Amino acid sequence: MAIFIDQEKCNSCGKCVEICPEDVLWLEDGPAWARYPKECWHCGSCVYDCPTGAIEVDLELDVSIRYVEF
Amino acid sequence: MSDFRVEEYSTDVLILGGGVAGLAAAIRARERGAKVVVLEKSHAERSGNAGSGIDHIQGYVPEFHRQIGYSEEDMIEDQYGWGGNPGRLNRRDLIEIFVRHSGHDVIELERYGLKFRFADSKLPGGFRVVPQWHYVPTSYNFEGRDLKRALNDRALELGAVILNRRHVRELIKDGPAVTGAVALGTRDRVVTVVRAKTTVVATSGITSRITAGVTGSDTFERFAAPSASVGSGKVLAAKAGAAVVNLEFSALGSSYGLVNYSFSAGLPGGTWWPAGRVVDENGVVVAERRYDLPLDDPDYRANYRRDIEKSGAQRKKIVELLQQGQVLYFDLAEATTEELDYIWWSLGHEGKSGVTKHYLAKRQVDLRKVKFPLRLGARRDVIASGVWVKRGTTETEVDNLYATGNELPALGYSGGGTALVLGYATGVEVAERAQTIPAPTSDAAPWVEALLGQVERITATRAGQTWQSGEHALTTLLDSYLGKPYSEKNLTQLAALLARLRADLTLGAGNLHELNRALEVLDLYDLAELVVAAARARKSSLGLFQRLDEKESAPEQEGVSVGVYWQDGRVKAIRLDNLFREERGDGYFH
Repeated sequence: MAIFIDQEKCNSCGKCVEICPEDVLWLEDGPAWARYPKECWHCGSCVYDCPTGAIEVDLELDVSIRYVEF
Repeated sequence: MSDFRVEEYSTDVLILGGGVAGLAAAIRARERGAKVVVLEKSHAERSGNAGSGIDHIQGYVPEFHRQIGYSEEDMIEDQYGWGGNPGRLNRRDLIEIFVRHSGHDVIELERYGLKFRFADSKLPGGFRVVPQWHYVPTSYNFEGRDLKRALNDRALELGAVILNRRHVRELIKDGPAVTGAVALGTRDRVVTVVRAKTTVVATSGITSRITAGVTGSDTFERFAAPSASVGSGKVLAAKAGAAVVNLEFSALGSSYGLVNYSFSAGLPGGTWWPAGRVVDENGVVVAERRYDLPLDDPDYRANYRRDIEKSGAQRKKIVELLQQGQVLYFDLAEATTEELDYIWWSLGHEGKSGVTKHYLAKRQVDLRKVKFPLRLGARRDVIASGVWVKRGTTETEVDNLYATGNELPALGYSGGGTALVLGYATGVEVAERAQTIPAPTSDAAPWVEALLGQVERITATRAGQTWQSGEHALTTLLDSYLGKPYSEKNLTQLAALLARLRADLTLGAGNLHELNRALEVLDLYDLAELVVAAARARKSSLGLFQRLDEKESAPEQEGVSVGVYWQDGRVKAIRLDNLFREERGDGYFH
């Protein structure tokens, strides 16, 4: 999936879960994880707010910008 | 459902939605000593359509505008006459509030550490003004990625109570007045009851969830957060008896966009300005890039206007060529290194463009060497819609209920700016009003019971439909009928099919997250009912709103808004006069 949370870097602080506007991310015991990845709207908030830089969000193919190379 | 805990609050000011407008209202109301509670469905630090940032905001910039010779009156006239809202659907009184306060209110954001002045600026004050569609330039850049956090922190510092993860479901009414709201927790099994002297609808003006492609085609259109774009504020207001106007315009067709994106990125120019242009398959320029005008140009104003007019003409040409089957591309081949740096900066501060930036950078895309295909789009939006308010205020016609930000109707399309400035204005109004009203003691039990009954029905449904299927069925149906010219017969059929679909809808939910989504979908069905009613009520073509059976735009339709709301379970449509030539005309349409 296009939300990647580095299990080593995540310190389980819960900030990303707290702020995720679409309620996509989850925290139980251990690192945060994406429970509802199809509802991510790729706003990037979790990437900006993660204190350890553990999160990468890429565009899913069905919402990716399309271009051609010349 | 008895395991839902009920929590109760009492306040002077209740704000529904912790977006830019809601937080701005909270800040001003607290500054004036009013008690404030904000109910926010997500989390106010990052919620709403400005959640992960905006890189430009609108307003009058005295240092810049005065040097060129633009007065506040010039900007008011320009916004009022903005062609995107046809037939004088703009509300001059609200635009005046926006323009007159914007010079102060917007730049006040500098106090929160947000950067508005740039070393590469050639403009007075160090501002970067970017053209969009106004004849008087109205947008300027700032580093707004953390705008929401700044406003949220300020509101908290001032003592506002912000309750996150609370989905507002009901407005409490006591006779003719709204006296608070009932919300459902989206992460905790809690029902929140807030009794309030004044209640402000500060939800999103955008209702893009009723168009197809919630997550499939809206990624570049950075200000349409799915949670915020349901139209729930409009549904709540209409159920309380407040007219929501001009929803028929959400039945509009559209122009063109990038493939897999719903918008055109403002091409030519826009926030990619000035480097964006459009070329055909042979590289022939179809729409030229734009250039910054020198400040000492004595004909600056005339030349700027010409530039915007040319841009509009080029947009029409692009549509015509695409309709003829031409292959066209958005192209940045002639962007200078400086301009490319600007584009990357802009992407990093404008909401979800930050992820688009990451996507492109990760693939080492050289923006000068790739081209982005353009296609005719299918995007629709509500441009003039909102909750009707009395002249010169943000007070609705329902007692003690206010609307603010982009939930206000018929603004001149200045998204971030109007959210902030009108939010502030409402905060002042409600703080003053609250001083004159006794604390309500309404019995909230009927509303709590209604909500828990609805929750019970959804969670007890066996083999219920998923919220996704309910949403897709609705958007597919609406896309089959709207977004193109239609007749009364088409709308009658659509209304019947919509009612049937609603009757067949038996949503289920296995947890609070799914329940929250299911409730959103119910609001989408309610909103769709309002949209179809409004489209039927507008008995003429008006600007972009085109009916096959009502070709002519009647002069008496100029400045007339169609308002819809529920009364005794039925949608009523009324005529409202944007020019205030007369009072509301109940029953005019039905």
